[in-house]
Amino acid sequence: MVCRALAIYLVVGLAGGCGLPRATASEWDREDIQKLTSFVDEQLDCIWNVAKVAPPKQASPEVYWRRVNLDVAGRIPSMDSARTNSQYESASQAEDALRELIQSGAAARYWGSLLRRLWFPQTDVPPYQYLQADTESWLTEQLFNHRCINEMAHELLTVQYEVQHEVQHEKVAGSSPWATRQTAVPDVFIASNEFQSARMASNATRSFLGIDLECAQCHDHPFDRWTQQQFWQTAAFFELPDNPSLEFAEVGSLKVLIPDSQKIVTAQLFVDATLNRRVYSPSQGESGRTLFADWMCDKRNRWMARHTVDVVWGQLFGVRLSELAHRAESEVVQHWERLHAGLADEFVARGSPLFPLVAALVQTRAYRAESQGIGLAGGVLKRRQQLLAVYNIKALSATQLLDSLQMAQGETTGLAAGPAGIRERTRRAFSESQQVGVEGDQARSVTQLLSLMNGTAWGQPPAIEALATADFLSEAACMDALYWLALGRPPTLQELDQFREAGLFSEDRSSRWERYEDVHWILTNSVEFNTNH
Amino acid sequence: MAISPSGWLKSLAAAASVMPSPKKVILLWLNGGPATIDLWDLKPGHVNGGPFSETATRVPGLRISEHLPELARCSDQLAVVRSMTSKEGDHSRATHFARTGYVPQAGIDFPDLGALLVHEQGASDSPLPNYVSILPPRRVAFAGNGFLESRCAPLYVGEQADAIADLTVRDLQPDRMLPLDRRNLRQQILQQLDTDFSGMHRQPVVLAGADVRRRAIRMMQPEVVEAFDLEAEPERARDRLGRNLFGQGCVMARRLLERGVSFVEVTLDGWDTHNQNFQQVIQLSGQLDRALSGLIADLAERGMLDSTLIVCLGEFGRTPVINSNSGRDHWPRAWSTVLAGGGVGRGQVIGATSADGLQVESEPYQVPDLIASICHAIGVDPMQQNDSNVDRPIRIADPSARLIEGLF
Repeated sequence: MVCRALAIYLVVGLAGGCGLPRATASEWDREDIQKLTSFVDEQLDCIWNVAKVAPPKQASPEVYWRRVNLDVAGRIPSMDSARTNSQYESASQAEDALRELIQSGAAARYWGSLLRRLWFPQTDVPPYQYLQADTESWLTEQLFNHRCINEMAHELLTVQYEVQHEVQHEKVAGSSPWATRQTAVPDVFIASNEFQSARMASNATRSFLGIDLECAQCHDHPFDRWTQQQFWQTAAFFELPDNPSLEFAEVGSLKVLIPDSQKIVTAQLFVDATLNRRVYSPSQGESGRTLFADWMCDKRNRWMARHTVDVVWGQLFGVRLSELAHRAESEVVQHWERLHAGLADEFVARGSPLFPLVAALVQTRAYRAESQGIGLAGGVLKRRQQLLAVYNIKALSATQLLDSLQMAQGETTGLAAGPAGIRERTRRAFSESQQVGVEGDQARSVTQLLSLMNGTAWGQPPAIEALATADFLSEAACMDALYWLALGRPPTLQELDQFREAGLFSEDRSSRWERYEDVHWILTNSVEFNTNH
Repeated sequence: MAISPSGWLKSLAAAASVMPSPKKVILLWLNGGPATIDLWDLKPGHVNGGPFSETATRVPGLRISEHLPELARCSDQLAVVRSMTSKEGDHSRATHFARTGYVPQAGIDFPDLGALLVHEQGASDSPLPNYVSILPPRRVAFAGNGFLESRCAPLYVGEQADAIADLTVRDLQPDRMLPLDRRNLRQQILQQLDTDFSGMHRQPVVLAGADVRRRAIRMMQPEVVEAFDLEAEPERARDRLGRNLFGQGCVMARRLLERGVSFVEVTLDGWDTHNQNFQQVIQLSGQLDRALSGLIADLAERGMLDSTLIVCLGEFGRTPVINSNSGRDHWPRAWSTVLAGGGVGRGQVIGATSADGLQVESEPYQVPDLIASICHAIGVDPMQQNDSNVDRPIRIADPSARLIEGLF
């Protein structure tokens, strides 16, 4: 019995593990992160000052820690972690805990999955779902090893592809030639775009740079910034070299015919910028993709940095920086734009590392802001939301919800630890179709709620068994544990009274099992559990 | 009058000012590709015509299959479009096309028409989901809400159903082992906690979350569960539409519409008649005839026919040429669809096919035209754009779509 009861502390405490070895990469530069945090804080102070709104009050340590866990690792904290972190007395202790979380395999896996969905949203849908597992594994590994965003992007765009006919014949006779791809870097960029230059151009510009170039694919639009010619000039970079054995080829040799026209265009950047080089080496496996990737990932080029910080910001704050600027009152527009540009500059100056950016943003005052709006009229609350003077509550994504449910049940195996394919199938069952880093209505459907409330697929939570059989634990301790498990905080006196009044908080030990099942059901189905607040 | 893409936008805008509130839709999905040449567009006397005879209807000039006698009697409520055409002859691609209005495009998660329409109509006060799919076919991956939010996803009724008793909703009720008092207690405290939480956090996502929980709990209440209870329906009403899965699915569709659902689809499977087409079509026609005619009569008696558009289609038609197994194969080039109610069905016959049934001879229409026309009929702007999962805005109906002439 004692072992069972102790198990709850152990399982939820260990559930934060990831199956990957601990990070051994170099330490972050704390000073750099603090500078980045300070930069954002200063800009937001300026915005609040200009807009004449009071800076936000800060969320409690429990709320903040739950929020950070959901955004960094994609699930609620374990009970042990939630309790411990609410008791830290010094800022450095909290910072160390955050550092440990961000360096965890869980964080790498969660953001690996987000990056896969951001860069290759087409892999959410057949026939490209088969590319998910390899892509996420690779991205996870790169993030765990502190690879920078632009390095990863460059490798993904310039990946070499070669069908190993002989290997295929020997190892997988009768199967598709694609079955023998042997590349360390996943070939998701070319495979999920069917080797078509137009689709690769669309994917690269939209997903990596945040530019809607493909709208001009068929014809010019009167009020659009980009023309059809610019689209196809970009696509030309993704055409295969005429002669792969050439030692050198000029960018001018990359050409494409605009469909339904007689017009052939040559590879050319769609912005007024200069390619890093105009010659590439087909015999060395280079192509026009290499030239485009060199330009796209160069630190002097801000398109990718701006898009990356925009998306990461959106993921953490529920609304992208570009959208904040777009919606802003006139007097603060320039301040949001300055923040966006400045953050992109700082990001690039530090080598475009993802996790230090995340670490810096989750320590800002705006991210730490409380989400309550007691006493605020609707219009005032909305304005404070738009100015990030109150934290924008987000509905949990399907993956966050499923992994958090598992955590709240005291499970250590299954979805979160399982292969990406299993998580993806479950995620699809919950119809997670929202784009990464975009504010959206992610409210559950009634159907999904019925499945959560009445479905039998979730099984018996091990945590309930552990608590119900822990005779040495008082009722108060058990209720406390149920709350920490599900909500990452202790119950309030009012809540305890509600449960007492309903007969679910009593000294009747014979009914523990049923009562704890009821309490667990109530807490995990609550809006509080289902939101990141 | 045919309306050009540019002109019809103006026409729609003008019409929108006089449109009543959005109408409801029942989609009767004939899964597998019905031999519409043996239903709505017979070719008697031609070698491709097969053994069926035509029957006269109440509408002069409209003759349909002898195996649709009840529909012949209410033909003045139908609009038969005999000139549908497409290029998609594969079940999967054609189903995607017919149900979403777009051919599959790798990487884009297109939503079904039902999801698109309920998305436009917004949230309702009903505890029931706005989009219900009854008897979804087992072997077809219906798109569901695609790139639209979860609230637009269909509620499935009778998944894997083999008998009428299987026309139920999964997880609608808690575990039967859970006593009623515990169920009620759970729901009561959950709502209490949600009320407290949303009182302190007045943000839209929290209020919406609390609201959808209230609706889910309401949906578990006996009076709402009753919407799915066919036993509560008078025997006569159930008999009228046929005591089979499809007929009873149509009874449920009408019950759901009465209770606030705005889009219900009911599937009649089994139309992939490569072998023994005619025996199968006789049997399927019997079900379709009784259910559709009964549904029209039911809705008319309740004063709901004008506000409910019924659309009956499958993914394509079947080859006019009869194969060596007395079957018909896939034929997307010329096929028919039928609409009723919603102020649309007035006994029209739109378009025509050649004498051998192989080609559309006049007024060819594509699936996007049908989608745009359905939207127009129920008061939804088919040019409305939604952000897709790849961040590209996509209109409900393809921009090239035009209204089906003669429907309105």
